[in-house]
Amino acid sequence: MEHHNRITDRSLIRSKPFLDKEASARAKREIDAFLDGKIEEWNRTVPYARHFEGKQVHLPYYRQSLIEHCWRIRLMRSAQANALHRITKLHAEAAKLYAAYQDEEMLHDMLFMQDAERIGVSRDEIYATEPSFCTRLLAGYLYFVAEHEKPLGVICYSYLVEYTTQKITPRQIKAMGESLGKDHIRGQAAHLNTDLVEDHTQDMWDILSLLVDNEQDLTDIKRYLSEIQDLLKMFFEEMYRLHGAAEQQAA
Amino acid sequence: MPTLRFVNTGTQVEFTGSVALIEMEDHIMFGCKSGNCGTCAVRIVSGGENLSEKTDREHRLFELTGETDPAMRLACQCKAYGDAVLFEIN
Repeated sequence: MEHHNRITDRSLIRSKPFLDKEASARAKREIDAFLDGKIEEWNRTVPYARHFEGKQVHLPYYRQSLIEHCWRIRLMRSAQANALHRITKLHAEAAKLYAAYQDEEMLHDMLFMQDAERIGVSRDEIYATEPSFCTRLLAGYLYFVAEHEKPLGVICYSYLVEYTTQKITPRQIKAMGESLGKDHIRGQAAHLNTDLVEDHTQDMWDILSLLVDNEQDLTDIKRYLSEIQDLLKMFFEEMYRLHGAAEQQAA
Repeated sequence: MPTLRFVNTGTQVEFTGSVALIEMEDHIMFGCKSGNCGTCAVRIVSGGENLSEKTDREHRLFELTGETDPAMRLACQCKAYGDAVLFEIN
């Protein structure tokens, strides 16, 4: 029996991408329009969706959302690193771009922890708080997608986060600067700055674009974005049940 | 030999000539390394005069975040030319 190379990984060979520059820009416009619709749906269906854009912030809600945000960053970076490992075997250049993004974002939980400390939540308290079931499900979903489906599904999480940050967070930061005080949200303002200046939305699209191999992948990007939004929605609905609903009943 | 002293970790580093603080990854946490995220913010306890001038990126980020303490610097943007004592924020 002849001996052949048992390694079939060809990720270092540059092939003609399925999406050329023009097709990629067209696909991005279509996905962005889809996401704009998802943002509208979010605002329409998630209670308290625009709470941080208001004049007053409900402190227990804000406090829990900050703690969870730290955990979300911490848990997702592990899930994303797992996907990165997969991507190295599919497309080395896409992996290089995602590694650069991870390098920039890896420690950004610190920025949210700084803001948590500014409202009296210590790092130890954050470490002692178990992340919600919904956040743990989200992390599990990203592992599942990377292991059994397509690693591009994990990049969809990064794209959704960056796209919505670009679209929504500037308004939130401006409003929270007034409601909570600018000095209380320094970490979040700095985090927003790096996402915008570095144009992480475009960076994530560039990775997605390299990983798209056929029309089905484009269809699946929309499915992944929808499912990820559903998982995130579960957490914010739970938060509302815990904080907002009680407040409204009391009012 | 000039020395950089890190208050939080209780460590110090000697150097010759000048040193970019971005090389101090064993002592300071860095994020974007390009003056945009503030992960590497440090408060200069002493020796500020031995550091390079604040860059436009530091001015921009501190203005954006409302940071008014003149002793705050972004380590990724600084070079040291002499002794300094730094308090690592993260």
